[in-house]
Amino acid sequence: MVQGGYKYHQYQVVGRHLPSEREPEPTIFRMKLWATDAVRAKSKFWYFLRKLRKVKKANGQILACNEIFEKHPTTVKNFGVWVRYQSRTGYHNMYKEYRDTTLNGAVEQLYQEMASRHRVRAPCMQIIKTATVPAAACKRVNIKQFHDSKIRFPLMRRMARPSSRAYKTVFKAVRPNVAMH
Amino acid sequence: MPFTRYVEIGRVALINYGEDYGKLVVISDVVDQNRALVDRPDMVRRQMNFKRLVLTDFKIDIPRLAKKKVLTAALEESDVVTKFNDSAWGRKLAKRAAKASMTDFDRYKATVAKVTRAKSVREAFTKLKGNDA
Repeated sequence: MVQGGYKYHQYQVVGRHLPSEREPEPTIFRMKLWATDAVRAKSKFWYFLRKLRKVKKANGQILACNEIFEKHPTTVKNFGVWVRYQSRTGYHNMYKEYRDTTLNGAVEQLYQEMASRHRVRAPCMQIIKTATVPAAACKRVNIKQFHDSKIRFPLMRRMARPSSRAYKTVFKAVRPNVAMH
Repeated sequence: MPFTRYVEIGRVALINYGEDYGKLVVISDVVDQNRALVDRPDMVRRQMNFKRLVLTDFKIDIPRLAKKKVLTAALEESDVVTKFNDSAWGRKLAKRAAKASMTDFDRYKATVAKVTRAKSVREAFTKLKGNDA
């Protein structure tokens, strides 16, 4: 099943330093990261790895690069995302929570929200860690308000919308009725 | 006027956009203020924006994230689909669909029927009015 039209996909990249005489079995590193395709995922892997360990692309090798898919894409989860980003002033750390069916969806929301609220472009962002957070451990009020099995709220400002893109118009002859409850 | 239709687990909604246009779905869970997880017996449960849904008057009694079996049974028991099709809204949709699927010959037949009907009405009317006209 294709999961949404997400721009960023989750990949796991496994790599290590090239084996040498002195180190015939170098430590293997595995990283889960988000990228638009496998090539970029591998590039990001080397970027992170050379910051963390003394391994770089010139003296390393990729052992595997696979896309990771959501196990249960039909249930809603709370995702916590730890993110580090570069602003015009400096680097900041952040923790955010999202509700979605897939982790990729939550990451998509993250990129959109960081762009809108903080004007952060995707290349300036580093996802440090993600987690599925149980309802009791959620921190953000906007997420907690949906933890209710008896949830009930009306939809406001309902408008008749075109049934397909072909019927969309820029100008309308009549003002819309926005009170169709 | 107060609100009569609420987003809640088990609320039946109509899809008003896209390839599933005109299908009835049931709200299975609320994702956030913009999206719900919707389900129907013959599709994989998925999230959908409230902008693409219109809430109906009907609500079925199901728990959150109900299994397909429970959902199908609840839909069958409450008979919501038939009730919706019998409502003014459902009949309007059916009528619209029937009209859209008419062929050129169907439209011709409809015209002929209309002409015949108008003729008989006119004849009956003239008869009632008397011969002095």
